[in-house]
Formats: sequence, structure tokens, C-alpha cells
Amino acid sequence: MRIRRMWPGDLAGVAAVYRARGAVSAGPLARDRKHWRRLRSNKASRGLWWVAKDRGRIVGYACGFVEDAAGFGLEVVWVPTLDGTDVPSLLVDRIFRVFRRRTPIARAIWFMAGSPVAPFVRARMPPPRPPSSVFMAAVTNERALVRDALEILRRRKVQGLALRVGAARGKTSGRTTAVMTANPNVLLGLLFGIRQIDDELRTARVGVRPNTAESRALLRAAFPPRRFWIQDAW
Amino acid sequence: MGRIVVRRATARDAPNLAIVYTHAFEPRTARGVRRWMALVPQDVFVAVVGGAIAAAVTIEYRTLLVDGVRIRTGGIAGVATRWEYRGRGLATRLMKKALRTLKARGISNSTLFTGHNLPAIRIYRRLGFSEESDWIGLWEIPDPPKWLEKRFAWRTKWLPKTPFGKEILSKWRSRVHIVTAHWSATVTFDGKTFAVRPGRRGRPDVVMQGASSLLHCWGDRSVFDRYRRNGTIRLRGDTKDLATWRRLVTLEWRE
Repeated sequence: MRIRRMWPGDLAGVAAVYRARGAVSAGPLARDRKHWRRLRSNKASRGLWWVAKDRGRIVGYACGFVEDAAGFGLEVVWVPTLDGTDVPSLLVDRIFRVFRRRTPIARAIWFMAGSPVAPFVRARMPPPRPPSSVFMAAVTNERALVRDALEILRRRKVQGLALRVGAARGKTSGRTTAVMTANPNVLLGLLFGIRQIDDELRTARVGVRPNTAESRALLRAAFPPRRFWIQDAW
Repeated sequence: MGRIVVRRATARDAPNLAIVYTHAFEPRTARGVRRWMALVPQDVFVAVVGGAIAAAVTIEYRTLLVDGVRIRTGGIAGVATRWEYRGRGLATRLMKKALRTLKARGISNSTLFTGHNLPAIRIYRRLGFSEESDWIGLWEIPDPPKWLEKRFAWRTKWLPKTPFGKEILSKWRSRVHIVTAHWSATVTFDGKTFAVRPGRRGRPDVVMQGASSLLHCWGDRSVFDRYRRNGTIRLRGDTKDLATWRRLVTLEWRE
């Protein structure tokens, strides 16, 4: 496995890494060709894209940008099959090694609390400043939320679960074995992986009927722990 | 306040939007605003008061991936009000319009990033938003005086373009020493430009002392106040000067 600068022909491989991560995570923005082109054409990022290659295949990438002699880490992404390996660590190392040479004034990186990148970055940087920015979410349309939730549950192969969210109702395929009642914002947090189902059950922000071990196991399968991985702040 | 009209903005509103954004965020030009409006699919709603654009809210239509499933979201951005129209409920009105639009379009959720310490967070909470996760920044600043120079160069560029900045800078001529165990710097203002030099130069009107981590409070009022309370930073000087210095450091006007 080696880390090298990204070449123009690597873009398809980089996009594939991002897609692979997006398939098992919550939060990355869907990107089309235009989005990638815009990211790549940013002059501040020129020469600051790296890829990790293993047996001829791109398995991770990192990028940053330089502004006013300060370097900013932008994204560090790797394929989920390499979780627990040294790939993310090597990518983070590379980005900050280059910044240390090129950006004398400051280096910074931003990430969501709980992001998979966090431990690798924290190991190389001074302690964070007290949190000053926060990500907020609200439900705007309960019916649309239930529709989105059912699509995600279908992808997770959940069967037999009915949802009651405010005035909206919906159910997955199969004979209903459990009915979940939740506040819309709580369901949204569960789908994004920001809230944990066990905490919500314990604090009664989520109700389940019948309240049996089987029903709770079904909810755990429906809302497994996910790391919210939003890379694009707007 | 005159009659308020809420409507969608077009590219022709860019010069007026640039003024609103300059009051709220940083110097913007009409060209920059036009370019931003063309970047991603979006709706910009503006509140027009007496023929002038007084506030704006943008919905950026984005798609989030959750286990590979595409979930549309209305990203709220560019919530800004001109200085003289603040505190009159314009942003709330525009946010309500934005949320109604998202509901009508069948988009299930709306998301945004904001500062913990900004009053806008109260509007978002009232409208049903909940804080979901912190957005954390890690900084390594090997050359603090140079870093401060950049921060104050930005203040030199931005503040004279805003009514609140103009007012306060007209009275500010104080010399400030920033002192830590490892480095120190002197900040001066000659009526036009801020200058930051390493070391302690001249007789100071304000002294700000503390650990190197005092830089964390730049641009953040809540951190500044917390550090002051717990002794991470110690300030010496005339009360009036200290109040202005606090605003200069934390950019309180952004509210």
C-alpha cells in the first residue's frame, strides 16, 4: 500500500471510495460529476490531493486546501473494508506533513463529533477549542420522513416494523410484529445515526409495542449505530 | 418599519444581497453573490422593507446518503439581516417561509450549521430544530503573531464596510499587548489599519494575558467570557477599552 499524489485519471477511483463509504454511513452528501469537478478545480487545493493505492486499486484519499498561508484538512476518506488498518492514519500523516512544510502560520481541520476521522486527527493536533459550531436538524414533512425512513429500512432488510410518527404512518414489508412510536426529530436523529436507539428507548422518547425483547431487537436491527459523516458544511 | 414583503430573490438582487451578507458575515461583492447563487440548486428568500432588502435566508437543496439511500435535505444557509433591521423578526419570518417551502416540496428535513453562541440558535430552536452534533475544529498555530496579523487584516478589510464597525473604529486608538509565556504581540490601529507586531512595544492601554490557548476565543464570545471567568485570560485596562476589545476579538457584531 502506498500514498501518492492524485492524478487526473484517479478521479473515478476516488469517487468509488466515497460511494463505498456512503453506502455504509449516514451523512455524506451525494455527489455528481459536477460536484467532483468543482472540488478538483479549486485552486486552493492544487497539489493537495493524495490517494492510497493498494494492489492497483484506490482505497482511500485525502485532500486539503491552503488559504493565507494556513492549511486546512478537508476530507480523509477510506473504504469501509479498511477500517481498523493504518490507511487513515497514513493519509492524515501525509496531509499534515505537507502542511507543516507549506503553511507556516496555522493548520486546521474540521469534523463532526464522532466522525471516524476524529481519533486520527486528535492524535496529531493540539486539544480542540471548546465547540463553537453545531449541526442542527428539523423535520419539515412527517409523511416524507416516514417515506424516507421506510426506504432506508428496506435497504437494511428490516421486516415487520410499523412506524407512527406524529400524524404519519407507514410499515415495512412482512407481517407487523412491532409498532414504533417516535417524535419526528428523534426518528430523523436515529436515521442519521446521531441518536442511539437504546438511549431513546431508555428515556422513552421512542416507544415500542409490544415492549418485548424481540421488538427491541427488531428496533436495534432497524437503527444500528452509524457514524454521522458529513464532510460538506454549507 | 414599513411594509414587509417576502419574496424569492433573483440574480438582479445580488448587489443588495451583498450588502446584507457584508453586514452579517464578511465583505461580499455582487459578483461573488451571483457566483454563489449559481453554485448549487437553491432558493433565496428575501424580506424587503420599504423597497430595500433587509434580510435573507437561503435553502440549498442537497442530497444526503444514508446507507446509500438518497435523502433530500433543505440546507439552510446565509441567514442574514442588515444591522439596522435586526431584532424585528425578519429572519424568523423568512425561516418559516423556507420551512413551508420544504414541506410543500415533499422534503422531509432541513439541516444547518450555526454557532453555539449566536442568538440565531434561539430562532432555530423555536422553529423545531434540535442540536444534533458538534462541529469540531482542531487548530495548530505555530506562529501566533502572524496568525493574529491575518485575523486583524481581515478586520481591517471588513469592519469599515459595516455601520457598526465604522462606529466603533472611529473611537478606537488603544494599544493592546497580548502576552503568553511563549510569545507576545502588540496590536495597534491608526484609524485605517490594524497592525500586529511580535513582542511588547510601547505603553499599553489594554493587556490581555494568558496561556497560548487564549487564541481559542478569537471570534467566539462564549469562549471569551468563559476563559475570562475561569482565569484562562486576564485583562487589564480601562473598562470602556476592555468592552471594545472584547467586541474586536469576538466579532460580537456578527449577531
